[in-house]
Amino acid sequence: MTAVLRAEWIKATTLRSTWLTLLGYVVAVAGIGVGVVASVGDVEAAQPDYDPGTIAFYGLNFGHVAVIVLAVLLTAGEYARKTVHTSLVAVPRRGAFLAAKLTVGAVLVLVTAAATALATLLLTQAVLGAPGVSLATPGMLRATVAAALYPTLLAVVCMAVGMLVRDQAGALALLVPFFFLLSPLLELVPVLQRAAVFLPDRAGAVAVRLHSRPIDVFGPVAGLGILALWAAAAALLAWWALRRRDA
Amino acid sequence: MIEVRGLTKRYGEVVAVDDLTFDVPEGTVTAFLGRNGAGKSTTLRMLLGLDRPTAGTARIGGRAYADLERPLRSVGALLDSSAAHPARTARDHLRWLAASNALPAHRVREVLDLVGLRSAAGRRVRGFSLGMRQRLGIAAALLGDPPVLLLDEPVNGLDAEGIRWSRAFLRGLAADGRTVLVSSHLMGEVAQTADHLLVVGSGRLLADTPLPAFLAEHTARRVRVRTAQPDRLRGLLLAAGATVTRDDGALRVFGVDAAHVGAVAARHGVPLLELGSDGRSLEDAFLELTAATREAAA
Repeated sequence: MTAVLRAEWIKATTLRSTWLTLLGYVVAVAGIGVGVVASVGDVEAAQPDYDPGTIAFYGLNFGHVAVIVLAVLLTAGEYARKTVHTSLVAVPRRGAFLAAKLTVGAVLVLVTAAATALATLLLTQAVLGAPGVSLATPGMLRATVAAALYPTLLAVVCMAVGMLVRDQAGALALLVPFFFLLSPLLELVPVLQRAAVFLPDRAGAVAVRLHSRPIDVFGPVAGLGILALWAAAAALLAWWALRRRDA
Repeated sequence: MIEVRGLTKRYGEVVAVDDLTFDVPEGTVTAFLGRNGAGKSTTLRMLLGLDRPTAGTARIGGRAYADLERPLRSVGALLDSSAAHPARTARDHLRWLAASNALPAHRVREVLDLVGLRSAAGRRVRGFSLGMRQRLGIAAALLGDPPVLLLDEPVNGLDAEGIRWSRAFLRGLAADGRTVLVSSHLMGEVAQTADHLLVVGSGRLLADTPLPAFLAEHTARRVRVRTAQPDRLRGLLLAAGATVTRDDGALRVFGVDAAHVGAVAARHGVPLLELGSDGRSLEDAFLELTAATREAAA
């Protein structure tokens, strides 16, 4: 298994696109977070329903586009380049191949997202000044950890979808509109919002907030748990399909 | 030793590989021949565990490929030259392959030297010519120094220089005592290096024979005969056990010699306009062999 992990690590890290998408994530999350705080931070902070987590990590939604692109390049990208044939000839145990691929992708996103979450918190609160919070503020440490775990688990969901769809354009056309537009919009539809919060990204977003909203039916830890269940279910489905299908 | 038993692959109604059974003995170079779409690649993909057979088994050294512990140490495969990521350098492509099978890192340098890609090792595959990609594919196949090699169309699309190179390379592999199964739709190309021939058409095995026997059987006795009663003569010759194909007004007869054709015609009073036998190339033999089954299948 270590051999397979090393191989997937070399594959992921020798592609420039991996580093570019991770850089895109950092820029989107930290940049948009700082931008939002700098422009409307003081106004928002004066609102009665102000949530420091939501505002500081406002860029997460945009960062997810980078997460989706990375996840699709690492998975469906193998099919686009036919390198999946080479991969499966080298590693015929498909479960090990998939597990190594998901692990490497998740580790890359986790490390990047954790560093980005911390930097974003520090930068946004410095810009905010007096109303700013810190890791010592109750719930803020948890929200920051969530801001690292949420994109990581979402990456697992997206990598699994990439392995299932096996087509870069198809996977992107499915994932980007869904997580960037559809899912956040569903949360705004009154009759659907209590169901919509169970969607992978919405459940993860709950964990980044400091305060629960009226529509929330579960807390932050449960939110991450629900997202983890989505990730596990998607990975299992991808494994089942990978074992059954011709490469 | 490669053993294929009753191997079959169906895609819905289409039968890509139809009940193939053959062995590739140790230490031989076996050419796996057939037209494009004859089922060669599908067979190799099933041997490598990429495609699941509808029926039958394909084993290498007594085991299914997917059960091999470090497969690159046992089997080297060249599938298609595009199977390296264009944005990765040649060296990085080989590095991850070596890592996946816990092969020592120095093998990467060795195979790069072996195929003459040392100076291009740090370049991205995107900028490689087809010939260079093919060399990289062969380097990847040799990474684990495997005793068995499966090469799918290694000379396809190569220029004259590349073809000469890969021919010499194939001979070298054979001289090392490796077991090589090399597929091609160009018979002449691989026949020069092969010990044994497997010919497939429409997914079925048409010939499984040593090269000299194939040459003796298929290239020597070919008769060309022209008559005013081609249908009648064809029927008579078929009844005599010959194989007959039509060739713009004339008949081509296999399996019997010219004297035999003349005797049959004389015995039944069929006037002949022309009778002769001519030698022909391996390529002709191959084309006619595969053409015959195409008619049979239609």
